[in-house]
Amino acid sequence: MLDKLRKPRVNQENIQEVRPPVDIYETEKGIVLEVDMPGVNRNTLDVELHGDNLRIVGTKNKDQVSDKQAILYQERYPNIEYRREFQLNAEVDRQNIKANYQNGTLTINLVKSKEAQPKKINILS
Amino acid sequence: MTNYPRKRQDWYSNPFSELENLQRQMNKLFDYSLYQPEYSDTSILGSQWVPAIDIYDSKDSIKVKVDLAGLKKEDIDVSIQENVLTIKGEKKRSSEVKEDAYLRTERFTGTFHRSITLPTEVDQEKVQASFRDGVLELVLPKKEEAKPKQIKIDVS
Repeated sequence: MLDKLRKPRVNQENIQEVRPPVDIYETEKGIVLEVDMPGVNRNTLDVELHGDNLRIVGTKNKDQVSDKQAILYQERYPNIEYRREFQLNAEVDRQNIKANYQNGTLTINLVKSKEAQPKKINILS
Repeated sequence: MTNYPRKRQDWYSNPFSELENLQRQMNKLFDYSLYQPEYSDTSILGSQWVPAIDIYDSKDSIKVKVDLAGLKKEDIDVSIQENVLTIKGEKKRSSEVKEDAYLRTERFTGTFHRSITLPTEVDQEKVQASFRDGVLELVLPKKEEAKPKQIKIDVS
């Protein structure tokens, strides 16, 4: 699976684009991706497949900082859009992609298509 | 005082990224202890990674937000002692998955530990904590004496 590289940018509304970290591991049936995206507004969370391109987008919930509040210390970016794209290879079953967002981690389950699974060939004696 | 972080490192699969991150955190620790002694951030040396944190000052309380994706609330330990707030725990990868099954590991895992000296005294009994979608939110109500008091100006 190829990871598409994209230069992160800040767009007009001052939203910082961030490439979330991902763990990828293989199972018997296919591949699992775990993407860390804390605090995402579920209305903006999108996992889309465009041809071979698996795209993950999500906007972080805006921190409600009222005028009465002062920021004493800030490490978390105030306005973040998480964005990452992956190129799927031919073995992935496009119809059977499952995504689940829990505790700030997006888990995507990809399975190998039936054709791609190893076939046993009978030996005729 | 708004103090935006410097350009954050991109999470490419750089084998040194965790070391660099720790180095930057240590540099920040020394910077901050010189300019803002009340936010001394200790115990970074004991942890394998450091979660990002925001501290806000509302009039009646101190609010803290910590990015802790991929953790369950049972794995997070929050405590206050003598006005030092400590957040620690351990983030583990799935135990069912073998090491060699991983094609890529970028997520921060392992133990984390942050201790922050709070700028004002807080009422430890009334602290509220909630954990949603990987973000830990703490509301620490200030002690009565610590709340800002309006001073009346006499116009004579």
